[in-house]
Amino acid sequence: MVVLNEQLFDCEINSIQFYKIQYNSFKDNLVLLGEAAVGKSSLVLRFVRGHFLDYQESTIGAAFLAQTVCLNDTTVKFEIWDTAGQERYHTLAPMYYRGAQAAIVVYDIRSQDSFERAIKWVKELQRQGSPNIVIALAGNKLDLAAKRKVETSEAQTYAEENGLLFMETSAKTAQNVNELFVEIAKKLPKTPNPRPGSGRLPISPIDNNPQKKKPCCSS
Amino acid sequence: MHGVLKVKTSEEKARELKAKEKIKIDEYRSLVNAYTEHRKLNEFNDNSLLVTKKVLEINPEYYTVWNFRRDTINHFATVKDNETMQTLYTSEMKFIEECIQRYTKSYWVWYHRKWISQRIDKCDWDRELKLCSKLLDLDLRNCKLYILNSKESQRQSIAKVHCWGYRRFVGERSNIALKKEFDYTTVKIEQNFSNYSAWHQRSALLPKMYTEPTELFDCLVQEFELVRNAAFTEPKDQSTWIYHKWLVGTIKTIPNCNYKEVLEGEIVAINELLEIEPDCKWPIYTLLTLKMELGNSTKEELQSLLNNLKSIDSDHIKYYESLETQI
Amino acid sequence: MDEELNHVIDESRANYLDKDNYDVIVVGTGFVESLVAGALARVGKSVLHLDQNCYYGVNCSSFTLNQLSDMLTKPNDDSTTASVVQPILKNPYIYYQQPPTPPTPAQLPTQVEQPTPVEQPVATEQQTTTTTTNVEESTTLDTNDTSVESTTTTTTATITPVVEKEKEKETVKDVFKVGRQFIIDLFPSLLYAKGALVQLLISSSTSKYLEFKTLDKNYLYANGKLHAIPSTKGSIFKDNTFSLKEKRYIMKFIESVRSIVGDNSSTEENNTEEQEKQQQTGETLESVTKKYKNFVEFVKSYQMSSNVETFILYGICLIHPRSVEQVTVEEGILSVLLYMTSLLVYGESPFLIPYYGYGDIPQAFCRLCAVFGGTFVLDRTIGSINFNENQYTGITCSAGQPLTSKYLIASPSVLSPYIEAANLQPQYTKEQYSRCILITDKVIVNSSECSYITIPPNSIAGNKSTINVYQMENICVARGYVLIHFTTLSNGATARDDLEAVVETFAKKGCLYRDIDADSNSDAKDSRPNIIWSGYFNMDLNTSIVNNKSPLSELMPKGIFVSSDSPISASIDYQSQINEAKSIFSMIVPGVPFLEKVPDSEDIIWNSEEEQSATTNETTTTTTTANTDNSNLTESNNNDDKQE
Repeated sequence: MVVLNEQLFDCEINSIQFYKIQYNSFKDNLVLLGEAAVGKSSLVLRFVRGHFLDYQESTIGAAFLAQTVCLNDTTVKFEIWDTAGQERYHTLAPMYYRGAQAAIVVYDIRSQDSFERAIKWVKELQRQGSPNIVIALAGNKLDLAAKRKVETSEAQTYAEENGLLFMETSAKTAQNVNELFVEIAKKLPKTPNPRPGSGRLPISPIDNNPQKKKPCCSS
Repeated sequence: MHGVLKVKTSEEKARELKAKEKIKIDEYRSLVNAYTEHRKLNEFNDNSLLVTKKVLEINPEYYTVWNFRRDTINHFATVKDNETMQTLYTSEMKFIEECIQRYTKSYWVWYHRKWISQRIDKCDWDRELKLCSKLLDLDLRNCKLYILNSKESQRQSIAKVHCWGYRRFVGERSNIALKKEFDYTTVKIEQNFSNYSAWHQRSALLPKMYTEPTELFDCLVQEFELVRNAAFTEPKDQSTWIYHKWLVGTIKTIPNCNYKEVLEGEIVAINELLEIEPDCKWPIYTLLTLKMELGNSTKEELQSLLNNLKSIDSDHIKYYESLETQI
Repeated sequence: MDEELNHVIDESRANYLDKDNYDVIVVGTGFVESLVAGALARVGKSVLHLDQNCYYGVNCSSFTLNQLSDMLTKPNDDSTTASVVQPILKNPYIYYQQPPTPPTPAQLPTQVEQPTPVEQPVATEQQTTTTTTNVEESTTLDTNDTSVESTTTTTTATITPVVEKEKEKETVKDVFKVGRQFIIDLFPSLLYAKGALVQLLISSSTSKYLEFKTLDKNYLYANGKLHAIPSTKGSIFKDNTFSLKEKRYIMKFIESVRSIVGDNSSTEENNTEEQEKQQQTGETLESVTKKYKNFVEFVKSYQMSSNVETFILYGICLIHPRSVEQVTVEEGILSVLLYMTSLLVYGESPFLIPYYGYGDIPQAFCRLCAVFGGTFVLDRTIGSINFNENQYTGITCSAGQPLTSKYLIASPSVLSPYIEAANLQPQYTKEQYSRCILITDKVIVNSSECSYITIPPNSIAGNKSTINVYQMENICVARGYVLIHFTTLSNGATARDDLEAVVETFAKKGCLYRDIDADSNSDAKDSRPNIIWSGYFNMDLNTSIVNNKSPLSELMPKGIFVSSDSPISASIDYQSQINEAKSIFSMIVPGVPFLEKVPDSEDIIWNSEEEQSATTNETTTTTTTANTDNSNLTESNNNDDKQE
């Protein structure tokens, strides 16, 4: 994927950024799916900010977080998209998961409904998501295993049959949270672009030099 | 309140940035100190390579550091076996490549690359050519070609001079087919004809490619056509007119050819251009030189062109006055 | 609707929303509504955003082939609940390529008003098998003597099965198998790299949610050929269709437009000679606007060849109302300038294409709204509007729940009963568009993958208005297919009447090689792409904007704002829609900045210090966890650095 930063075109000659960007910067978009209140945001906040709140209100304005995972030979920068509450009335826009390289489908181990719902999301992703998308199934709220309704073996079997990563997690105790993200990072293809040569191009969010934006002129 | 995020203030951010910068500056200072120590003691060892590398990574314009680095390498060459040295050269090439990508304009970096590449037993010249092409392609991304500021393009073109120079150096060593290199200049010119180096490269290649006078003549006629397209697209661009001048100068020297007819044709084309752009210096100047060359114009005709030039390009009035004496 | 849309909406949909009071209720997730909703949520307003459809975008929506086909075949399906209003696709007509049946000459393509692709596979497969055998025979014949094909024009029918086996894949049954991979915009659109919309996406950080591709090439259709529009000085230089003088005239025109607008960003670099020259020209936007009646007159004043005039009026200036005379001097000049400034920003072409269709753009603003706490409910609209005297108080939504809010924003189609009641219809303009969506097996002859073609009026079969052709390969389509959009303003004729002749200029029905008109080289094979599927329809768009204001909003009961349908046209930038959104926004929250940049997550200060410290700890843990799993490479790297 070519990531072009607009600034480059206005710098006189700034090959450093150009090369850097061309060679080693790619970000992997990761989306979270699952029914409301299964703990999607909590998982992300545990992973990115390292905290857990018992009464988590979704953080307004910050449903787009970045975190880096270091692997042997690469660093994977996850850009994690939270559903921003759009799952609540089942109004999640398709654009949310279209370009994602990885997805975590979350259910609450205490709710069979949320598991059924998760299965639907997996199907949706397999149909509509990127062809090489890495999907992880996460049974969250492992700290409340006493009230478990979804058996580990059931979810495990489903995950195996469908080629998903599977883990039971607890955002509260941090159990398996980092592990989940690390496993996903390991499975991500080294070449980020699912369709080579297609020239996907995020446009730059940086606009530092409005003065220079206008073209140079000869008249 | 909803929607209002607590955000780091610009001061906080500036402070963070400053702190980061300070660390960098301190780092650089201590590196320079380390280098000066080594130099004082004339220490040529692994550590002197490491220290110079660190300094140059930050500041490749510090040419005495490059010199010291070469001294170190020279010293190693006297004490180490060739195999070790070759490995060193290879890693050195890699290091320079990183530097080049960051500082295309630095003469010292290119000089160092030349220096090392000659010491390598089997330098991969093809790869070197590719590197040049890649760097020269950045040109394209850096300029708005449609309506290009001529000074801007001049500056960029000059910035690439070292790269073109190195390309010629590589070309001489790698026996690259002349035609292939010629085609490369065509590509670069089609991308952006405000490119002194590419035109220059062309003028260096053509006489080598066509040693047969009639072949060279035919080729030059085609080149005139190409330049005409550039001149009509952007008559203010100096680089095309300089190449035009070279073409005129070269075609005259071809024995037994009807070069005058070609130049007459050029006069017709330039007159057409001047109908649209009556106040453009370069075509007027070229017209003047062509007419002087052919010697079939009246003094009045030439004088009126000169007067025109003096009024639109008063900066070079002395030069035009000196031309007046020649007509 | 299609099941894949349906299943997004849960069967067990909660009928009532938890919260029944909002600052603003927005109905319709079209471009303008989404923009306003996002902007209002961004500044802390509580927003409820509804849409009568079960998908986002209203007219700015994208569909799969299967969905679109359903919409065209069952345009007014009353079986769905009354509240589900699909975009009204009028005069639908579908033509698609039937699997080749050997004995039938393909000159009689089957016209299908009600295709039933689901039922076809069985029959088709049998036919295909038959064809395959025939193909082998004929191919052998053909390879022996290639001239057979061109000489035996009259016997075309017998050569019918001269189709490579691959071609058989391109029958309609197969295209529907991969139909879900198509992303078909109702109104496809180009974004200028330096246009208002891209600037807004960047400045509001909404671009984070989107990905783009640059258009490969744009063309002008002139004299029966595609003429690539040069995008760089270099491409003008090497263009061989313009004469030397024409090249100079084009450059001169561009320079003069720039000097008129005073776009002189690098003044300090201009030498005196150039500055003097500019003073000589001395024209300003004001003076030329006074001097010339319209843009055409302005262009003609340069006395260029008609070739160059057409190139400027249709190729570079991309505002194409019914008549080119309607383009004002200012519009024309600004459009040329926008084109110029957009070149070489992200690539050679000045245009960006949303990677997953234009429909993602309103969705991105909806996401922004949701991120700032907005609530979204689809498949729900206004049941009735509640008033207290002439003051709007709230709505009763289609699910029967009464909801209150200070403001209501909705598009004219949603508010039409109220607009009619107030006799305000004359206040908005309605434009009818003709559209054709074409799926072919390859790109239009001599065009690049993703390209945009402008066909000036009177170019093909007396077309009355400019036609835009927008071709996509490798994005928004299944592999091996090409998606081509045709759009034009309609003069009341059906989309099929407006466009079929044009479509068939570029693509052919049937998959046979047969000689085309005498004007083409009689030996040449017809290399036009084959039509695999095509759908025609008309659509109306309502616009309530006059001079960037919304007169309707002023005439509506207090608290109600009417937005426009959008986009107005597929070929211009979104300045007017953005201005409309801004004006509605500033009527609700005067003096507040519109869509300010969302801070990067790194710059956000999180609630408590305790949290902050926890964060630092945890980040370290993350790295270490990863490292313990994987041989500590990062760790050792750091150590190396320190040693050095």
